Amino acid sequence: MSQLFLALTIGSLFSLGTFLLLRRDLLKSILGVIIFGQAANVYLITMGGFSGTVPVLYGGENLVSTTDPLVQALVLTAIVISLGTTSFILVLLLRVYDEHGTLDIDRLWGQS
Amino acid sequence: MGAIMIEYSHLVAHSPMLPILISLLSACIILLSRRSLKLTIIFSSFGMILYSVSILFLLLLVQDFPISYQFSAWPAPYGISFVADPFSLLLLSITAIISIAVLFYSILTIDAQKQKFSYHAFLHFLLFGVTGALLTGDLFNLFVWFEVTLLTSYVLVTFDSNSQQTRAGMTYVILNLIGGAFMLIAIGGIYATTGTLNLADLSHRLSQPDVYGISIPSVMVFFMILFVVFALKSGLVPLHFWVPLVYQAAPSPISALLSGVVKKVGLYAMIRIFFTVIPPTSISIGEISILTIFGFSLLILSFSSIVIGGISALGQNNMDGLLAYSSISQMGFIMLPLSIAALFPAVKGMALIAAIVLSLNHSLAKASLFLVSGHIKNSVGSVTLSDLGGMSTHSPILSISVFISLFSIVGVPPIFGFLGKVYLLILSSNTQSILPNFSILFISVILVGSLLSLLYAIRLWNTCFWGEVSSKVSTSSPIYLTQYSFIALSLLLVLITLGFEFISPLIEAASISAVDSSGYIDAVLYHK
Amino acid sequence: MTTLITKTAAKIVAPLIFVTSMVLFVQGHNTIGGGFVAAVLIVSAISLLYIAYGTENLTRLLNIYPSELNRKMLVSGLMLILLTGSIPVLFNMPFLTQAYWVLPTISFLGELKISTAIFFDLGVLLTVTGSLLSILSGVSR
Repeated sequence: MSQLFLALTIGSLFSLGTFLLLRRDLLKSILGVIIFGQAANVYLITMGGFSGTVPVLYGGENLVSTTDPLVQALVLTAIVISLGTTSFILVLLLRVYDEHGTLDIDRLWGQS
Repeated sequence: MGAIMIEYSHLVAHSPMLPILISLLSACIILLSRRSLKLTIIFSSFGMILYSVSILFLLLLVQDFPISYQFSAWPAPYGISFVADPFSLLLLSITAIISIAVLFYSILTIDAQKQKFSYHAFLHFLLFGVTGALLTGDLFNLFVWFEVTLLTSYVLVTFDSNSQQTRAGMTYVILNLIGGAFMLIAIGGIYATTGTLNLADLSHRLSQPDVYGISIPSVMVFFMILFVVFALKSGLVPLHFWVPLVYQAAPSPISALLSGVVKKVGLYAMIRIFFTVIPPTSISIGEISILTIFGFSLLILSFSSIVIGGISALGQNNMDGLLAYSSISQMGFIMLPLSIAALFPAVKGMALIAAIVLSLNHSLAKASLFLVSGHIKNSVGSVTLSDLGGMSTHSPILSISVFISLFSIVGVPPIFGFLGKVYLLILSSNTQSILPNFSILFISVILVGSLLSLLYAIRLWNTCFWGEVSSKVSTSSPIYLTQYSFIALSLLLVLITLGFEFISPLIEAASISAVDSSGYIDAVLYHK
Repeated sequence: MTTLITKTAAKIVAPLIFVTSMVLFVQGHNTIGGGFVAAVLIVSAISLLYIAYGTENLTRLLNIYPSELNRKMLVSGLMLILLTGSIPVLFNMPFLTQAYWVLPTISFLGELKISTAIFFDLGVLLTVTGSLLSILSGVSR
């Protein structure tokens, strides 16, 4: 059941991200990118599986019920990175607005 | 404490870690010395020298077999490994050379306020990221280093944050964020299917997919996603549109670094994953192996890069744009031998030599040309082709340097780039014995691409360097000192050409180590 | 947002967040928590104060020039990380190798173990706090 729920969550996050990414408003498309990245993170955490097929220690085969901790470390790293990039892109967005006075993609790239 | 003693053997044992330690440390120290420009410059140059020395040390240390380093003493498949082999060291040395030139140029041209405002620190952080990406032996770690490199390059690209830079930076950041998400997807998938992220262990497991219960179709899909991400990083054609935007907007020393170093990290990752990690035969469904799919996709991408990049470069009316599109087309030339290597394993060794020679040539020449473009921007005030003219009579030394780099990129006979093109042509004709029709296709695309590069090079040369001295050029004030940065790079191209017999063992060792999976596995997993 | 309710609430909530973040920081070695999470919590507490009192007021109140402090915090965090990582190298052990000591038992605390990883985590905490706060002070205007 949790597998299905997670799959649905990941799917809807990806589709929401893609939908927002294709908007004309730059802020919305950035939100789309961020959601897209978070979807990738959620996806990554499911990749460890919930049955503990990949033990970290030698002789850990009998600890069948453990969840793989490696993916959690990976996701933590990915989250930290996405925090950095997210804050950078938001500040950059502010600069774009300062420089161009608009966040409409058509007008931003049309004016050259 | 008697244990604290730095002996030579300790230095050797820790050598793969030294470059990243040095670059991170110098970045931190530079951040601390923000008040004084003089201190900043001294620390930055000193850090760069130390960095280059550490790489030279590694280069002397690593002769034929890779050496590995385990962080925090965790054994190989579990901890993070760093692997220094001739291939990564060759790229690292190019990185060091180009960054020395870029640093020299930046000290002289970037204005004092910006240099104090952590420009140098970010330069060293960029080196930190690139070095990590080139040395790491872990797939997820590769992603992290990519992100470190990209984050710093975002900052450096938008360093002046004027209207052009913010807009280009936006495209660059959004594209790379999506690229990063896809890379994460691929890495997660590879981990789930193979159960490891250590490149050596991955290679080991992929060579026996049945033993480890690896589902081959899904692994193939995930590796192809990785391929798309690397293609984005190296700016191949359907994913190239950030290249001209960013290279035109970024400060010229940063464009030099991006085209000379950061783009090559994508190339490096592609070679490392598809030639070192993926075993040539075992990952296949029926007759079709993953290398065939990779080879065909890369073939299409590099063909279209060569042609589209070349044609677009012809249509540019400013020097930066021309150089940016030219770098797309040259990236195609660099990738073409790789696709040949993937499709025809018989000529693999030569193909990798061709790719490495072309990539070396492109790194040095393009970095030098971007520095020239920045120099012209500073002295003349414009890099629009119509504003320039008669530079060869006005500043002959600069023109000679441009001549060397420009025609080395095209591959005009005596210069280094020619060697790359010759290798490429020999390689294509060697494929004739395997598939006759293919070699004609290869040769014709290479010739068309070279013709296009010759045309845009001649166009640049004719409009900017020959002919009447334009009014803007004649009134411009010459700057002498910055010239040495790009003159040094083009001089190096000449030196490499003259002393190719001294360089060729390095290139050969690099090409061998790039395809030597068993050596890589032995070094990381068994510490041989 | 500088209403009385926000101010009073912030005054009560911010110290609680600080304490929680410290707990998370200390337990982070082998349970949920760690330097990064603690830093994010600290920054959220400070940003709560910023929202309640306004950037200028808080800067005047604390009598510091925040961006300078943030930068120092960031750099010292990075240096601490480097230092804790490099000390094993002097003993010819790989970079980032950990060690831990068991402290003598103190009556009510029980057995205390202190590992070098906590200094690394402290570095992470300082770096993340410094960088997030400098981002905040850059964006707030």
